[in-house]
Amino acid sequence: MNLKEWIFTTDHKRVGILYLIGSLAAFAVAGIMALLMRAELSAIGPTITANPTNYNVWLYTHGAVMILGFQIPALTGFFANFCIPLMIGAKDVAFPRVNALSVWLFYVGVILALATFFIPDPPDIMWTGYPPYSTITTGNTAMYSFTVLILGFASIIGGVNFLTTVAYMRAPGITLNKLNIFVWCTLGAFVLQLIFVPVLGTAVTLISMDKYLGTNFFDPAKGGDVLTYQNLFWFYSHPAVYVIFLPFIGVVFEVISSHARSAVFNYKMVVYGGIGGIVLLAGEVWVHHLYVSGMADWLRIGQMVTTLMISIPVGLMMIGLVGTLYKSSIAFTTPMMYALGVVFLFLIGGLTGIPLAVPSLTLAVSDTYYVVGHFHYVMAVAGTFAIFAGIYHWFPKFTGRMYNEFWGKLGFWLTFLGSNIVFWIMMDIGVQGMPRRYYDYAHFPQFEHAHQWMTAGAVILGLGFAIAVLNWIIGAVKGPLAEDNPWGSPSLEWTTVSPPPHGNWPSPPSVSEDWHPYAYKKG
Amino acid sequence: MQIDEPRFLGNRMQPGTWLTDAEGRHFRIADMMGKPLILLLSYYGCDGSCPTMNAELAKVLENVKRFQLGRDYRVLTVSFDKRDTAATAKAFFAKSTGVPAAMTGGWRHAVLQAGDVQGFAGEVGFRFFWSDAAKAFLHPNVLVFLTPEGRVARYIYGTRMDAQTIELAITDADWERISSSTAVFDMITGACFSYNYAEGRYQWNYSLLAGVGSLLLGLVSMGSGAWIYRRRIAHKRREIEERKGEAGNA
Amino acid sequence: MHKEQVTGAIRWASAAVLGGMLAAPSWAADTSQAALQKINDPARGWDHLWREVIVDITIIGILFALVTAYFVIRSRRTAENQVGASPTLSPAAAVAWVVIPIFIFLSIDLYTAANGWVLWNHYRDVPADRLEVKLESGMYSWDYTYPNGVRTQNQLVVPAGKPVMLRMTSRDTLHSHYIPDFRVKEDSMPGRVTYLWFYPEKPGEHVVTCAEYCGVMHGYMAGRIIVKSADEYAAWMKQEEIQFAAASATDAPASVKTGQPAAKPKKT
Repeated sequence: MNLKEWIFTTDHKRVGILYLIGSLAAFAVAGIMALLMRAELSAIGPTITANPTNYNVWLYTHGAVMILGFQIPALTGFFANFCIPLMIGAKDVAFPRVNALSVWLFYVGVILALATFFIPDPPDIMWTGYPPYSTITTGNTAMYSFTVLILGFASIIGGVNFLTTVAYMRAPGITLNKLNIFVWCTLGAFVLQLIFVPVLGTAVTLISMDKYLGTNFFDPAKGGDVLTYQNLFWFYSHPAVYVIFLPFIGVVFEVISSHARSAVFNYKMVVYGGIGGIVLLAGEVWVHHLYVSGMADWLRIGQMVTTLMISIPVGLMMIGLVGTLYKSSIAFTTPMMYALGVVFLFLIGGLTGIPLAVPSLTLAVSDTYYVVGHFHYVMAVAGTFAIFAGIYHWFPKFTGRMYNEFWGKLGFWLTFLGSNIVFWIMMDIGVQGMPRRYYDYAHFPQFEHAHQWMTAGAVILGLGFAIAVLNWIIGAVKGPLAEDNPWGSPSLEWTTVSPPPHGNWPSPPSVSEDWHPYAYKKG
Repeated sequence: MQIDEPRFLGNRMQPGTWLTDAEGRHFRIADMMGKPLILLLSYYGCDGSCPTMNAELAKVLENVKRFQLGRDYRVLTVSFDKRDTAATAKAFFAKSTGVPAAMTGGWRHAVLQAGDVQGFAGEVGFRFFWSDAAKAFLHPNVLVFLTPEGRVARYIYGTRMDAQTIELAITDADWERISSSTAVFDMITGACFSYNYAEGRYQWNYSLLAGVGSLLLGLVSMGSGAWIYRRRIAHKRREIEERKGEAGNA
Repeated sequence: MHKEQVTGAIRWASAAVLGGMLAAPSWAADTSQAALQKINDPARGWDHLWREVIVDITIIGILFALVTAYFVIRSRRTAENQVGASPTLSPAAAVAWVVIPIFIFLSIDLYTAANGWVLWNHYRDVPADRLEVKLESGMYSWDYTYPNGVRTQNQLVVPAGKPVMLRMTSRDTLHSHYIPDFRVKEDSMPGRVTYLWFYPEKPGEHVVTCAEYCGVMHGYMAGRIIVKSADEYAAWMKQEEIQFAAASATDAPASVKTGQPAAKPKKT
C-alpha cells in the first residue's frame, strides 16, 4: 500500500476509489458550504458574515462542487470505473492509462474548485455563470471556466473509454440484453456527455473571452446576445441532470434487485423505454429553464410538451423499480433502506417537477425556493441517497470489509428526516414567494420561522451524512472481513473475491446460457 | 439626432392617430398594423435626404424577395412638416420617390390630420428641428420597424440600405408571431443574426454559431464512433465465418 | 384574496383538497365579475391551475407510494436463503406494461399542457385598457417611468381595477421583476425588451423582489407596488405631475426621484 502505487495506478478499481475519495472530499466541502448558508439564513440580517459576497461564494461553491465535483464524478467516475469492467467480465477498461489521466484531471478540477477559498477574488457567479454579471463582476470568472473545462474534458475521455469498454470487452456470452441496468444507464449518461459537453465548454470559454479578451459574444450593445449564453448553458446542463439521474437510478436498480432478490421488472421496458427515452428526449427540453428569461413566447410554449413527456420514460423506470419489489424477498439492509428512500424521495421530487414543466405555472414559482426544493429532492436527496446506497452495497466488494449496520441505519434515518424537513419546508415557502440565492430576506419576515426549521433540518441532515462517511472510514479500516458475495447476487462483480485482485479474475469468467445478472436462484 | 434607442425600443405607438394619404383617404395608423410596418418619417418639401431615403427604400424593397410588400409587411411614410397636405404628399410621391405602382398597395404616403407632429414623432423618439440657415429640417435618416401590434422593434439608420438588413429587421419585428407563419427559414435566420447597436447593423450571432458548431462536433464524434463500431463488428463476424468456412473445407 | 388562496393551495395533500373546496365558491363569484370586464386575471387562473395540478400529483404520488409500501411490507425476507418469486412476464404482458403506462402518462401530460396553454395566453395577452409603465432595472433598483414621464424608484403606484403592463429592460445585469402576490415574474436584460402584466383589483401593498441573481446585493433588491383607489391614484398622480413639471422646467433631466441610470448600454 504505497502512495506512489495508488497515484500512478491504472487499475480501474483503484482509479474508481481515487474518484470516490476525491468526490467525497468535494461532497464534504460543498456540504459545509450548505451548512454555512443555512447558518447565515437562520435569522434576518447578517448572522455569521456581514459580507454578502462571502455568502455568494459559498453558494457558488456549493452548487458547482456538488454537481461537478461530487455527483458526476461519484456516479460516472467511481461507480462506472469500479462496476462496469466487473459487471461485463472484463479485466480492466479499454484504455487504462487514459482512465488514469481522467482521474488526474478530475483532481486538478477539484483542486481548482477548492482553491476558490484561497484566492482574493473568488468567483461569485453561481454555478450557472450568467452574463452580463459574470463578465462585469470582480470575481474570478476564469476560475469557473477552467474548472468546468477540465472536469468536462475528464468526463469526455472517461466517456470514450467506457463506451469502448462496453462495446468491445464484454466476456463471451454477455449479450446486450444481459447487461446490468447500471451499465446501460451509464452508457446512456456517457452518450449524453459526449454529445453535450462540447456545448458547455463553448459557453464557458466564450464567457471568459468576453471578460478577459474583450470580445462581445454576450454584449448586446455590440451585437452579442445575453440569452444565447443561457441557451447554450442549459443545452448542456439539462442533459447533465440526466447524466446524474441515469447512473443513480441504475445504482438503485442494482441495489433493489440484489437486496430483494428479484429480477428487474420488465427489463426491456426499463432499458429501451426508460433509458432510451431519456437519452432521446434529453436534448429537447432545455427551454424549461428559460421560461421566465424573456425568450419569444412561442419558443417557451414549444418545449412544454417535450418537458412533460419526460414523465413517460421516468414513469416507466419507476414502474420498473416498484415492479421489482412485487413478490420479492426484501432484506432491510442499510443499502436497501437508502434505495427504498430514493424511491419515495424521487417520487416527491419527480412529481413536483410536473408543475415546473408548464410555463404558465413556472412564471410564479421559477427562481424561488420551490424550484430549489424540487431539484434538491431529485438531485441532492434522491441522487445522494442513491450514491450512498451504492457505496454501502459495493462496500464489501471494494474494501473487503463490512460496515456497521446499526450506524448505517441510524445515518439513513437522520438524513431521511433531515432532508424532508429542509426541502419540504423549502418548497412550501417557495410557493409563497421566497426567492432563491438571497443572502438576506429582510422584506420577507414571515419566512424567518421556516428558515430556522430548515437550518435545524440541515444540521440533522449533515449529522446523518457525517455518520455514514465515518461508518465507511471505520468499516474500511477495521470492519469485519466480508464474504465474496454477501447479498447472494448472480451479477458478475460478486463472483470474484473481495476485494478483487488486479485483473479481476484469475481466468476470464464465462457465463452459461441461462445466466442473467438478475436471475436469482434458490441457494 | 441619434435616437435614444434603449428608451424607445418596445414603445407602442398610439393606434388611434388619424392620417390622410396621398389619395386623400382617411385612415388610422392602426389600419396599417397587424403586420410588420416600416415607418419612415420624411417631409415632402425636402430636396435632400428624404426623397433619397424613399427612393432607396423603394429600390431595395424590390430586392427583398422573402417578404412581399402588402402581404407580409407594409410601409408608411409620414410627414413631420405641418405645412404638408395630401396634395404635397401626392406630388412628392409622384415626382421623386419612384415607388412602382405595384408597391402602392402596401405603401402609403401620409400626413397627420390634426394634432401634434412633435408628439407623434416623439412616440418613436424621432426628433427634428427647422434650420433657418439651411431652410430645411434637420432630422435623422432612419427606418423604424414596428411589430404587428405597433411596438418599436428596430431602428436602421442611413440612406444606404441593403435588402438583407431589411429582411432581418422585418423578421425581428415579426419574431413573436413567426411560428404561425410556418417560416422555418425565417426562424433560423432570425436566430443566426443579432443586431449590433454600436454599429447599427446585423451581424452573425457568433456565440450561437459556436454553440451549434460544438453540438455538431459532439454529434459527429458520437456518430462516427457508432459507425466504426458497427464496421468492426461486421468485420469480425466475417472473419469468424471465413475461419469457420476454412475449417469446414479442411 | 390571492394571498389566502395561495397559502391554501400549497398546503399539499389533504390541505390542498380542503382549501380548494373552501375557496371555490368565492373564486367562482369573482370570475363572473371579472368576466364582465373581460379581464382574465392570470393570478386567479394560476391559483386555480396550481391547485388542480397539486391535487393531481398528490393523488398519483399517494397511490404510487401506497403500492410501493404494500409491496415492501408484503415482501419481507422470512428465510435466509429465500429468493423473490415474482412471475416472469409473457411477451404480451411486457408490451402492455409499456404501452398502457405510456398512454396514461401521455394523457395526463397533454391534459396538463392544454390547461397550461390556456393560462399562458392569459399571462401574455394584455388587456387593451391598461396602464403601461416602463421599467428599467439596474443594480439594485427598479426605476419606473409612467406614460406622462413621471418617474419613481422602487415604488410603483397603480390604480385599483386597471391592468398594469410593465415594459422592461435592464441597464446592467439580469434582473427579474417578481411580484409574489400577483404570481408573475419576467427577466429583464440589456438589449431586449420584455413585458409582464398584472391585475391589481383592490387597494393594498405588495412586495416586488428580484428573482434572478444580479450581483452582490441581489437579496436586497426589493420594492413595493402600492395599489390605490382610482381617486387616490389620480390625486397622487396630479401631485407627481406638478413636481415633474417643476423639475423639468428648472432643468432638463427629470431625474429628481430616480437617480440617473449609472451605466446605459453603450451606443454611438
